[in-house]
Amino acid sequence: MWFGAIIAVRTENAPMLTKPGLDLNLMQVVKTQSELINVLRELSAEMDLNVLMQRVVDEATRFTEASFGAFFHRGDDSDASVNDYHLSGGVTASFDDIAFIRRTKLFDATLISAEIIRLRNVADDPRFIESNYHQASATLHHEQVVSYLAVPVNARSGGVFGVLVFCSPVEGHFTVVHESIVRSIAAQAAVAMDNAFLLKRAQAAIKVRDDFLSVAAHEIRTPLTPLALQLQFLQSKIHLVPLKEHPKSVALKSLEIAARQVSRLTLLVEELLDVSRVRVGRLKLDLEDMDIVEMVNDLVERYLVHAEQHGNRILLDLPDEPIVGKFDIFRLQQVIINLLTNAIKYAPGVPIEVSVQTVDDKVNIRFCDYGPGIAPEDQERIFNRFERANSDFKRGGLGLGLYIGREIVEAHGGSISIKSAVNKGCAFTVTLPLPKGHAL
Amino acid sequence: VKNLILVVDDDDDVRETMLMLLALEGHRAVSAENGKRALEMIVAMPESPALIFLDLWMPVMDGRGFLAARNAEVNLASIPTFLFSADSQASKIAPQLHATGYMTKPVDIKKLFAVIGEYIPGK
Repeated sequence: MWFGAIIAVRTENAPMLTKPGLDLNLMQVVKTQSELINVLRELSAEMDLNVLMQRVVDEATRFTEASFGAFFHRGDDSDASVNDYHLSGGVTASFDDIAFIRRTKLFDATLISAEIIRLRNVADDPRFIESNYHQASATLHHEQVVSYLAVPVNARSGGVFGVLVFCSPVEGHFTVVHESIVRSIAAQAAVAMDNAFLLKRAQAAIKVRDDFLSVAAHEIRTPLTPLALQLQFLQSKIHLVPLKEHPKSVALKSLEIAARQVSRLTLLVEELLDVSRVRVGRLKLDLEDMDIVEMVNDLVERYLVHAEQHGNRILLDLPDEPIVGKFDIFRLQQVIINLLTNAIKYAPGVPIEVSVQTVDDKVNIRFCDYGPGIAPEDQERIFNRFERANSDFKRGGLGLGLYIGREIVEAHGGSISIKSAVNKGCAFTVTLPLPKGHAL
Repeated sequence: VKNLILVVDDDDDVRETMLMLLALEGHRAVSAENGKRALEMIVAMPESPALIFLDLWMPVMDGRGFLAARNAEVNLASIPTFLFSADSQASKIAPQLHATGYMTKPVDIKKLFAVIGEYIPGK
């Protein structure tokens, strides 16, 4: 990437040598350029975002001989407003409040419109003190902020990552050479920042996957425990013929528990396979006419005992008439069971309302609990693969239910929505399309 | 003679299997589905258990919470407590939490009874 930068410096700087009034001799230009190339190369290799941004502002301040420089940036989220900044290393206390610059309209021109601005004197530009709110600060700091140079750092996505700002108390301090150098550094910084963001995101994704693998291993080992113990027990007693010491009923009980573990393990494996089916787009639906009301009623009945054990009362609100549509019964049951057991698992001891309602050509199946709720920032995340609202909150299961559930509902042409407030409860609504004239 | 074994685990099948096998081998055993329930049971019991098998990941109060409470209470701190967990970090976590030892799930039945043999007087 630095190859492009050399060209830029050369082509833009070369004519400057012939212009009068510049105190750069040829030797100095060559020295500056070779130093710049080294710095650009070093920047391209820096993967730590904070180190990178500090390096960028320090080097650019040094090359421009500014009294101070600052890199105002949007941090990790390029949609956010400027929320952080790095100041050049040698900044003295008198520049502590320099952050006021980012609230001027002058600054916005670079942040929003990616405009490069180089001013002999900021006072010449109405945008510097235009806003009344900042006039006091601007006047106060005008002693330090006379000449001004601002260059955007453009993200590959098209937005502006941040703005490099340099100031000097000397009028007309910044030359076109300075501007060119900062542009080169900004271009290199943009590439390096893109890389650093990608790395950071990749590392976060790897961590999510690693966490999932440890949860998956835990979930598989748990049913393996009774399975292994029961089989080892049977194995150790099988030579006792007749099974006097341990009657047949004990052996049968042992086998029953062992078989139950095989079912649990099978379900876990199925869930893992569902994830890969969804990923490669192989989630096939077997559609047939079915009555949603009947299905919800049957499933709730099946889980009444389970709910009671967790102190949940289920309040069922179903229409009297059947609601018939074309659905994959097995898949839809999977979604309903997941939402129902989630409510029981995460909101034990509180009432759970389950209702089915038609609205126009759609049916809403709603699960509402009055449990701990889900914070707004977690509400979208819980639908992601391998995620759950609180990863420290180990409650069994792979954390794939909502991810698979959403895929199943969307494959039906429907949607799942969540409405929740912390400590108020949580409502999940499955909305599915119905054929016209669905009521029987 | 102290010979009661307490199994603390949120998994119904793990609890049922442990109680079944321990009973068949002639041991007295009780179980709790989380750390909080286990503490309540110990307080209410006329005799404290001679050995505890403790799961790590449980709702309400997990294994860490239980061990913190056990370690803080002189009468409880002396009860041999083995982490009984499917967490692959159990070997590291056990000494950090001052557990007596650990068994990683799935456990081997011979190892299980070997540990029991160490802490429960022979029948």
